Parts: sequence; structure tokens; C-alpha cells
Amino acid sequence: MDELDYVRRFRAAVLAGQRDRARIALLDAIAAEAPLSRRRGLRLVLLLALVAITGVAVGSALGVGDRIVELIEGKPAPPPIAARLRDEVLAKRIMPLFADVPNVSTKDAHGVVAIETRGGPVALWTVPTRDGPICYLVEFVRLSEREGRPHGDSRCMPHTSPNAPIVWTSTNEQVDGHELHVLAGPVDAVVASVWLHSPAGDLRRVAQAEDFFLLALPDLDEGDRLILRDAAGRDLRAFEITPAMAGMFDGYDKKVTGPPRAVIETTDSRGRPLRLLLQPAEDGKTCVIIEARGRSSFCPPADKLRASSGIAVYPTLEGSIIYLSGSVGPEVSKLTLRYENGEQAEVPIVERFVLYDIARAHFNDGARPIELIGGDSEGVEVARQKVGQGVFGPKSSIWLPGDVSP
Amino acid sequence: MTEWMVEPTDREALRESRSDPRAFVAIFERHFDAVNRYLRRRVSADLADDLTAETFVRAFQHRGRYRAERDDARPWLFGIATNLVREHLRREKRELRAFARTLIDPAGEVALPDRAGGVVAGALGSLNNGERDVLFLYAWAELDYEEIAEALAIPGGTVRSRLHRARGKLRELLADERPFPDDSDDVVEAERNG
Repeated sequence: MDELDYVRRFRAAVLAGQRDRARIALLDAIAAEAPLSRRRGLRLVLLLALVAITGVAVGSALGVGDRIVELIEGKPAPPPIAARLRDEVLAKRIMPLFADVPNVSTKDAHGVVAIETRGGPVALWTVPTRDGPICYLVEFVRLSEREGRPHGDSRCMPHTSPNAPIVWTSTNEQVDGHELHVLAGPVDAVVASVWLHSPAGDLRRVAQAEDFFLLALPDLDEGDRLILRDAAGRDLRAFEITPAMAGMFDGYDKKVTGPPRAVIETTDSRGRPLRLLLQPAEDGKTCVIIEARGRSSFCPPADKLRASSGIAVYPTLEGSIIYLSGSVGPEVSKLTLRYENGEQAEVPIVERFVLYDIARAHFNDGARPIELIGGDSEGVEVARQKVGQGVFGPKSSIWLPGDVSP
Repeated sequence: MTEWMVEPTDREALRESRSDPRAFVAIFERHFDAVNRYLRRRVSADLADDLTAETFVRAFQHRGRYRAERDDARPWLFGIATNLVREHLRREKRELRAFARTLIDPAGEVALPDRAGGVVAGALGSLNNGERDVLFLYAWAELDYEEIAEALAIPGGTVRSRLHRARGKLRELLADERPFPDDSDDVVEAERNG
């Protein structure tokens, strides 16, 4: 052994430390250089967003925002993530409204962006579908590592449009004692930037990549708003985020003021109760509550869901069952559901409301429900609607609660 | 498929990073461990982690100046890291000497068994800064003469002479101290030969 061997052996057992701190510093530097509106195909537009939710942050070029900790855009999703996304898409293929969703290749599943939160990194993964819904997974990385499988919320959501430029889902998780509210979803191309505006007046940019946004909030404050801006920096739309608005359709929760009344009572394909209830709520409203698989839906005021005319009946996937629910206009007395194989079924209407379970035999190709036909009291057709039409789809617009745009 | 999934060379990634800054992430992911480990052997872990972060940030910010023809960015990165350590050389030297006196490694690592670590630390602490830089880049970063010259922006001849001097001093100091009297190859070999 010569002197050089001594040196080589000196502190030879030293291991490299964690990369997080250095990676964050580097990504800050990269983010400071990234142009704000560069899009190359499906590649990431790394908009700056970075905020000190974790308390470890250094200021970013744009001030506060979710700290991007990982540029995972374009990286193939690990097999468990890809499998999770594939399952989500397959589940949606069962749905009549997404019946045309093609099979997706799990090799196309890839990362979009990851941000640092008080509960560790939160990553957004996606898998492309042609002309189908936008499917993605919000993953709580720390929980995934602990559980050895992806922990998060996978969704397939409708495409955006200039009229409906953003769609989001909200996921709440407790991670190491920290309550996290993560909002994520697709953003339309007309939106150049997404901002979070707090009631205190703070304005911070939200992480946005590959036509998605990802935002983690330690607390949902009354008055928090998401503001969408175009490339010229003009406000396009603003949406209020409230604690009650946990998800896209949760904005109409009302405090009930009386007992529920069952309007429709039936069973699902597995023999479990399936009920539509009306329940009085504050402000003179009435809630329409659907009980399926032992769970109740939120409490939206009935006059928001009862159609003024025609057919407004839509499918819902709830676990392993699919049911149609909604309402019809006063001119519709009879509702007929037509299937691909030519079969027809009469769908009961009660007080203009509809709740109807789709038999599992009709989940299959060639037997799916395709159309609802409404007839008046004389049996004359007065309305017709494809199953799922008007709500979801590549070119449809959707209505978002909480829209506070002028 | 994005370009950084096809494992570009360092040179390619650096070139790509000029137009697409994100391509620099490949450099970070590839060399973080080596740079961080080199720095953790030179200074305490906390400081090393800070310097590692600073190394990659500076490298990113100055990537436009990277003109090397070689595919491997290690000499360039280790050069930046070594320059950053220079701001803490007095501390490094102080810690090595403290280690020699107390036999407690300030780096918090088991440097070498028992007294040997302290002896080697003392010897290393006796070298001048330039000698230590060259020695550590050679022994720990595993750069060759040419790469060290590039890293430190000094002539190749200077590298050779510093390394030669450093090794000579160490040989002398370690011979006096015999840090591994029972562990040297000579002893083992002698025992084998009966």
C-alpha cells in the first residue's frame, strides 16, 4: 500500500447525500431562464410557479408558487403508474360517454411535472388518448414510496375548450400530519398562465406543463381564486376556490333544513339500493341527492339540475355500476333508452327526475346504450339525446361552478 | 420521446441546454453523486451539500462557456466544485488538523480505522492548498492529469509537479507514522510468506 492508497481509502465510505436541495436550487435556476410560453408539441412548457409552501424555499423569479422539484415531463411513467393510468382508461371505456376511447399504450404514459409540498413531492402523470378523455394521475410520492404502489387520484376528464378553458379535480390527503389540497387538471391552449390570487392580495403563478396545471394548497382559504390569463397577460376567466368546492361539481353544497324524501327507489345491477332523494336546504333550495353503493352525493339545489326542456340525463360511473341520472323538461312524459343492439328500455320519470341503472350486459361493445328518446303524453317524440352528449367530449363545453368572470 | 431519454453525452446535453435549459437536468442527475461525494470527503456534509448545489447552479449559469471537446463534463464540474471549496480551504485544513489531534472526524465519517485516519488527516493537512486540490482530484475524483489541468485551468506540467510533491510529502509523513502497521500489504505479504 502506497501513500496514494491511503488517500483513496480516506473517507472512502462517504456516501452521497440527498439530491433534493441541490435539485431544487438547480430547478430554480432553470425556471428563472425558462421562457413563459414556449410549447413544442406535447413537451413541457415550464412556466414558473414556485412557492414556499414547504418553507424551505428561496424566492423564485416570479415570487411565490408551488415549487417544482422534478422535471419529469416526457419521462416514461414507471410500470405501476402506467398500469394505474391504463386501468383508469379501461374503466372509462366501460362508460357509454367514453365508449370510443381507444386503447392506450402504457408506454405512452409519462410524467408532466412534480411540485414540492409540505407532504413531500406531488407528481402529475398522464397517458394520451386519441379523441378520448384526458386521463391523469395525481400522485403523492411520499405515500407511494411507503405503500409500495402508486398512491393518488387518477381521473379521466373532458377536454377543455376556449369556452371551458380549465377543468380540475381536487384531491385531499393527509401526509405526515399535513392536510394537502391538490388541484390539478387540463388547461386549454388559450390559457397562457394560471395564477392563484389570495384574499390577502397575493398573486402567484401556478405550475403549468403540457397543458396541465398542478397546485397544492396547505389551506383552502375563503376567497382564493384561480385566474386564467392569455399570452398578453389579460385575464380570461377567474374561478373561486372555496373549501366547499372540493371538486368540480361540489360547489353547490347547501346546508339541509329538513328530512329527505325518496323520489326514486330502485336497485343497481348488484342488487344494492339506488335512490334519488329530494331534501330541503337553506335559501329555499331543494337538494337532489343520489345514493349509490351506500354513499350519498353532494347536495346541489334541484332547480340547477332540473331541465327546463328536453333531456338532461347523463351517465355516472360509480365503482362497478353505471347509472343514468338527471331530469327532463315538462313536455317529456316518456323516456326510452335505445341500445346498440336494437334493444330498448323504458326509463321511469318521477317528478321530472330520472335515475336508471344500466345492466352489466350493456357494458359490452355492441350492446351499449346509445340514445335517449323523449315522448310527450301522446307518444310523439319531442326530444332526443345521445347518451353522454353535451357534457363531455373533445369539443364540448362544460359548466363550472364558481365562475366569477364578468 | 424527448431527447434526454436517449442518454445524450454531457456535451450533447450541454449543447441542448443552451436552447432548452431543462436538458441540463441530465448533467445533474448523472454527476450529482460523484460531485457530492467528492465534496463530502473534503468538507462537512452540510457544507458539501450547499457547495454541490452551488456547483450545479454555477455550471448551469455558465454552461455557455463550456467549450470542451470532451464528452465528459466531470473535469469541468469538479473544477467548479474545487473552486468553491477554495473559499473554505482554511476550514478544510483546520478540520484535517483537528482530526489528526482528536481522532474524531469532523466529517462524521469513519475515515480510516483507529489511529490511521488521524495520521492520514494530519498528513493531508500539511499539504498546501494546490497540492491537496490536485491530489484529491486525482485520488478521489479519479481525473487524469489532463483532466485535472483542465479542471483547475493550470498547465499539465504543474499538475504533475504538484502531485509529485504531494505524494512525496505524504510518503515521508506516513512512513514516519506507519498508519497501518498491521494492515499494510507488506505486512500481510510478509505474514503470508511466513
